[in-house]
Amino acid sequence: MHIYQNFSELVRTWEGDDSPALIYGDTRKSLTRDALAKEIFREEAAIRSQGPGNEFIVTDHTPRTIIRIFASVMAGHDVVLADEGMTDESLMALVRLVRPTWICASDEELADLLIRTAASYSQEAGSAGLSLLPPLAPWEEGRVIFFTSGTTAMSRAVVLTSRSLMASSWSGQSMLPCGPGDTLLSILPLSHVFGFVCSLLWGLSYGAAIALGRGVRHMLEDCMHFKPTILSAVPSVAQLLMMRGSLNSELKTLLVGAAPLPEASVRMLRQMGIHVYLGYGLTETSSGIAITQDLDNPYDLYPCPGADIRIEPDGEISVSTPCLMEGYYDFGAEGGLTPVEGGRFYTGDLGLLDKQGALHLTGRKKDMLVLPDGTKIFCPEYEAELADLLGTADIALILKNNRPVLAIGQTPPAARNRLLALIESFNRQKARSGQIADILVTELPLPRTATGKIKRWEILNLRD
Amino acid sequence: MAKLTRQEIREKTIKIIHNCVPELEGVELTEDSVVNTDMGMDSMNFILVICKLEAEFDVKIPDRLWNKLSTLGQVIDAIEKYSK
Repeated sequence: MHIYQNFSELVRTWEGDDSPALIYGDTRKSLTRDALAKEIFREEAAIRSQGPGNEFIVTDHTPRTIIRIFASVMAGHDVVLADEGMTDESLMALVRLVRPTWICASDEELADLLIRTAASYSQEAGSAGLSLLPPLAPWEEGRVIFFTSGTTAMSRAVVLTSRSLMASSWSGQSMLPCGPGDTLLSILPLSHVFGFVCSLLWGLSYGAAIALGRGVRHMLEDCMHFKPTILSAVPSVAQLLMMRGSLNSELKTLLVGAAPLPEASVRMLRQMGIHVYLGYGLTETSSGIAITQDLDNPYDLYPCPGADIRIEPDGEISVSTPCLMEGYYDFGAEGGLTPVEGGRFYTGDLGLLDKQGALHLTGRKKDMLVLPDGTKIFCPEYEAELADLLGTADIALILKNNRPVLAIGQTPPAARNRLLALIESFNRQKARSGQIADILVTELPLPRTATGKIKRWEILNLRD
Repeated sequence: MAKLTRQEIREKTIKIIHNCVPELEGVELTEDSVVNTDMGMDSMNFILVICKLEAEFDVKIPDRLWNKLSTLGQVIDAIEKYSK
């Protein structure tokens, strides 16, 4: 199986190929690989004629956006991908940070707003934009910049290359092959690396047709509409489609990423004849580095080819892989690219490798509170116990002034004393050093990522 | 069909939210209540609610605006604005 070196090499193989590349819209229009390649080459030539630069693309599931992403990268432009679901304010803030040369958004009103924002650069200070990225040689393809979800820290800009993304597609294909005859439904945001690789690039690279989801309004109908054989999804979407009876009978493979799918759901999907695969990866590794196989234990993750996964002495998972990012990019005036030292990335996840070489995830390193006396508290364990006791799952343990503090969301201030009494009973069962020192009660829900992971660093800014 | 008053839209909207999100049954909702990814309603439930509201009121709220709807009042504003 071939590993494509970059987007140009892949797109050249589509010339003369009449198999469907993209299927889209209410009437299921089809664009062949040959036609897609021609459109990309035409757009690439137009972009090249405009000279060097970089591009800010608000992604959606339209052929035009996909053509633009490929063409811009192939023309040597660095491309920042943003999600159409972001608020205008967030997109404007990103534009100010990125300072792009070009902006691409399907929605004309939004494009106009962002272009006006970009026009005010001269009055803005504090961001160097992408000017601190190392210059590209004329023959090189542009880089693709994704933002992390920001579970344990502020969202970070991750610089990937078409080479690392193609390597990721190849490693996915090695573990979970797709091919001609398959239709992969793309409903994940293309501005997230899991969506870009596992619901677009992987299928396009190895012969599957990509059915482009018609947006949130049609999320429950798109499986029946496009009749995919493969679906990549996050757990909440997979569960919603399953519970609402929205999965089509032709669907044979479900690839779930970003967070684990509960075992009961895996079991139900298998009973429906669907093979369920769970992927583990990070934006920094261009998507998956390990994936489950359709075996008895649905959580045994097997490393993808080329991914050298190790467990460090403190239990942290580290990886060396051809899919690794070039580095993090800091948009600040003194910033620039911070490359990965020694070619090995420390994931911040805790795990273990069993005798069969399967990887098991056990938690996040930053989910561990280390107290001044060396006591270690693994937050998920405490939180599970406390959720039962308090009768709410919207809680998170944080370290404040070197003491464990429990944040409780969606709770009125009047409940404070009742909760403190319950915490006191909890503390009586714990060693002194591991006792909860205080609680932080807020009527707001605790901040979480789109996949429901708690943003502990943001809680520190909440007021009681 | 006669144009619905804001109060009628509010009552129907609250009923649909309660039907779609059983966890919110019995919870009093005002126009200031944050209904997007709040009060026990996750983003998937919110999508369901908006789909139901669009069908009920025969409106099409542009996709791009869905994430901007936060309070019940904003949802009602959008229904009023995009009513045919």
